[in-house]
This record gives sequence, C-alpha cells and structure tokens, in this order.
Amino acid sequence: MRAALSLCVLRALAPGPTYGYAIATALEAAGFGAIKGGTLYPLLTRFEAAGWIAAEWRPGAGGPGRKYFSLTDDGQRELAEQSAHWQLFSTTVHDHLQKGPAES
Amino acid sequence: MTSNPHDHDSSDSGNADTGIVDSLGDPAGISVTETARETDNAAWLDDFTIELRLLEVPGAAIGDAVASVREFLADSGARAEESFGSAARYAVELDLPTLPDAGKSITEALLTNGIGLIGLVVLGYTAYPLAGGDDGLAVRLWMVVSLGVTLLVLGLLPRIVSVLLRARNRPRTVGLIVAGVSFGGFGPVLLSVWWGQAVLFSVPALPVAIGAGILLLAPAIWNQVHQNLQADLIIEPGTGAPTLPSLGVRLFAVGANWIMVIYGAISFVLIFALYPNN
Repeated sequence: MRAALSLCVLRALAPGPTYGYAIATALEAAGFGAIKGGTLYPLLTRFEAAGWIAAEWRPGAGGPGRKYFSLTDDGQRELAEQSAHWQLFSTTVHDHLQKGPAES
Repeated sequence: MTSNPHDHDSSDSGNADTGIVDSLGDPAGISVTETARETDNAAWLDDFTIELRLLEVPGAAIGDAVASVREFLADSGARAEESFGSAARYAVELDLPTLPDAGKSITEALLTNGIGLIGLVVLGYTAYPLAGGDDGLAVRLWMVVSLGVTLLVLGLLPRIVSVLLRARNRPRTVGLIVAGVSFGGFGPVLLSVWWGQAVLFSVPALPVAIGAGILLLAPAIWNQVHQNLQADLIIEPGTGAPTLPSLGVRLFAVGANWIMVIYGAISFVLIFALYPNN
C-alpha cells in the first residue's frame, strides 16, 4: 500500500503545482481513505531530496502561505517509469488471480 | 495561482472540527474546542522544533518543516498528534539533512560543560574553609574521588540533557532522572567523604576559589555569546524572516545554560550563611 501511495502522490502532482492538504483530499476522494500529514510529508520530503519534485512557498492571506509542490522533469520520468512498472505488476497479479499458477 | 484541479481554498476546505462545532451549536463550545486545539497544536509544534534541534537539523529546514505542519493543520482543522503522530517520531521520519558539523557540537558541549562542572566542584571545596576564615584548602582523598565521579557523570551529560528536554513536560520523569543521577553519581562521593579524609596536600583557598569561579563562569558566558552570535535561527519560509521559539523554550534554554552558575552561587552563599567562622 505504501509503495502504491508513493506512486499515487506523484500522480496527484501531474496536473500541476499543488499543496499538501490538496494532495491528501485528492487521494481521499480517489478512495485511499484519510491521508495523514505524518504519512504524506515524509514522502514529499523524500521526493524533493530525490529531485522528483520542486517546492515553492507562495504567500497566503495572513501567514507564511502554502508550500506548493510541482513535478520536475526527473519526477515526470519517474512517474512514467513507476506507472509502467505498476501496470506490469498489476497485470501479472491479475492474470495470476484469474488463471492460477502455471502447470509444470 | 494554482493549476491543479485538486486545489481549493482553505476557507471552504473540509475542516475536521466543523462537524463537531456545528452539532454543538454553541459559540462558547466552538471557542473552547478551537482554543484547546490551538493550545495542543502549539505545544506539539514546540516539541517538534526541539526534536529537530536535537537531531541537528538546520534552522531554515526546521522553519520549513514547522510551517508545512502549521499549513496542513490550518487546512485540515486537525490536531497535530492525530495527523502527525508523536513529534519525536515524525521528526525522525522526515529524515531531514543535518548540519555539516553536527558531531562537533557534542564535543563542544562536553568540553564547555566539563570545564564549568570542574569549576563548580572545586568552588564547592573552597567554600567551607573560606567561610571559616581559613586561607588554606586541605585537598583530601574524597575531593579527588568526587572530581573523578564528576567527570564520569559529565560523559553522560549530552544524553541526559536530551532526555531531560524530551521529558520536560513530565515533571515526575524529570524528577526520577535527576534522583537517579544524583544517587548513582553522588553515592560514591558520599562514601568517599566518609572514608577518604586523608589530606593529600594543601593549597591556598582564595586563588583556587577565584580560578574555579572563572572556570564556572567562562563556559556559560561563552555559550551564551556563541549562541547569540552564531545562532542557527529558524527561518520563516517565504518571508526569510527569523522566528523565535516560544518564551518557555527560550527560558528553558537560558536556564539550562546558567544552571551550574546559579547552583554554584546559591551553594556558596548558603555555606557562608550556615557555617560562618566554622
């Protein structure tokens, strides 16, 4: 689930720059349940350290504002690569569940 | 400003307390609930800041992490403990980069606290003869043993300080730790006082007391100046403005720096008051 969540967080950033709570609500709306800040931000920090996302603080009405995250070129490549791996993995699992183990 | 369709303004975002608050239908209830949440969250953020400091995360990264939590809590209306778990665990899970000279500060703390502690112990030795008007300090076996034990306790000091900082809101735990260190550390000293009265040599008390006082004061002054001049300030993201920790945290930090000096001064005065012309 954690590996899938990591990929889905990257996917949530694909439409454009967005911030923490918007990512959490998007994932909740997609059926992942309530995503806690303690789960989301360590992932975002790891993505930022890996260079997959860039972060920028934008001013808010009366405070420090919001931290917006956006996919970098590396992040887009990573998303495409991980999506392809996931697709292959899910097809393999699906086929196995449908047909059962291959007879030797 | 945003280009992601998932974005929405926090003013109409799903506030976790809204449902509860609406069902209460009582403005006083709303205020109490909100105030309690804000108080809890502020305390959690203080703990989180301290944990990141203990992990030697740079001030700018601490400011960023704290502001991110604050932003998420404002948007979600959640309690920090529910949304982020314990401050200590979350600080570790973030896995933020640490200061390049992270290990150096431990050595520095050991050295400065060591010098201060030696000053405190030696000053204690001189207080009794000076209060009695005696110019000579007879150096006894127990004094040498207690100085050794002091240095041993000093080796544990960095760990003890971080444990005390984490337990600062639990007076019972702090009391147990202090009692453990006191009995464990000073038990052998008390025994040596009983058995080790043999005089090894004598030295003039006043110059030793002055020297010890300098050893006690110098590290505290140096730490304070060093802290003020080279403070790795927590930077508010976006604005670049430094943010100060809460008054409680600042007072605790100043108190921790000067605790040996205060203890030494009180002990010295008390010995003069209780044993005049002994």
